[in-house]
Amino acid sequence: MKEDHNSFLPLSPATLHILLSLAGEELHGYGIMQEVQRQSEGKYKLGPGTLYDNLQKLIERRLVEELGQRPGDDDPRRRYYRLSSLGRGVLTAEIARLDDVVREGKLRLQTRPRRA
Amino acid sequence: MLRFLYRCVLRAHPAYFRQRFADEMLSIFDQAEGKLSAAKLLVDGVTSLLRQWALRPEFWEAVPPAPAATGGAPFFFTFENPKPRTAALFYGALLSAMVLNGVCWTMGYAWNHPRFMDIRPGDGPAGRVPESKLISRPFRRSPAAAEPPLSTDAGRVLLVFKSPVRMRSAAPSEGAAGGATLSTPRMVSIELQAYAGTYVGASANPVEVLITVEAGRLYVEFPGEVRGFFGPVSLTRFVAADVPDCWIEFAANGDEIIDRAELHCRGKQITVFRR
Repeated sequence: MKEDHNSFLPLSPATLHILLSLAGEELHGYGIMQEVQRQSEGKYKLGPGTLYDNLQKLIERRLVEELGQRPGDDDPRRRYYRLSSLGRGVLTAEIARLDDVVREGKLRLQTRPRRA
Repeated sequence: MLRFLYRCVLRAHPAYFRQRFADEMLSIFDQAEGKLSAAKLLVDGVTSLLRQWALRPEFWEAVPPAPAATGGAPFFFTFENPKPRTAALFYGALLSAMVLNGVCWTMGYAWNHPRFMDIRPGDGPAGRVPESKLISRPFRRSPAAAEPPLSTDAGRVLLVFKSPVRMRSAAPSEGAAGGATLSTPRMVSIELQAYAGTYVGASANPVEVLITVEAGRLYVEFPGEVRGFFGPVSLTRFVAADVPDCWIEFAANGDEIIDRAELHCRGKQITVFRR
């Protein structure tokens, strides 16, 4: 049964950044924080409390899958997460929605009538 | 110090969140460089704590997912937190204390409140029990109670014989002949009302002795000689509690009804018969 991706939209900034960071590869929590900071060029910082609160919800809604620990990792306390197929679909839908918003915004701003 | 506080904050999170993410959050804290970063993480942890308790009630009782079995080895998972709730422990302790208190009270409470007396005869002449040898152990002893040692509150007295007792007269409830020996420790119940009545002397000696039961005690009134409370030392013998060297010995007829008594008081001996 095909999931309705639009029911998850719009995503909050934190959720969007987390899904976006997981779109490339599997990451642990600290890796997600670093990736979010890198993507936003340091403008958006995600604390552990916010990160794991969002991860909790995303796992519950099956947008993210928890992989557990990796044997060869430096810190055995780390757990890895990855984007599920549903999460990837939702992220795609959100990017498309944002794309429409950006396009519409640009269009509006270009055609804005100037005051006399 | 900051790490300790951060761990305390993590421990205060709801169980579901704590079990899933606390270790990893602490791992991130351990990678923080400088006290400023650690302080920011501590503030973030406190914010998370408030958020989880205030805004995420749906996750309070959630069950963390079971880890995947690896290598075909079986694993076990507890669906509920095995630790009892604090409130359950408190109520359990309270209930246990109440039950224990009730059992102790029930064990110490008898239906007719008998008083047990440890009687050790043998020092006096011919079965006589000196008053000083009477030992009373009331069930409930209040500090203000100055009641005589031999008493009962229901007209019934329990005698406990811990050593052989030689009885000179027949016991109404025993129906045995005089001089029977109780060779084993035993308890005997006495109905005081069986002794009550008016006793008069023989025609040559027209004295009148009035024996009554008041408030569970046997009172003997001998005009001009004595009037007071007599406590039992055997089935047939009662000793005056307030008057020294004074006791009364009852005897029963063939129908096991007490019909006569011998009153011994200050060297005098009077035989009276029930009217």
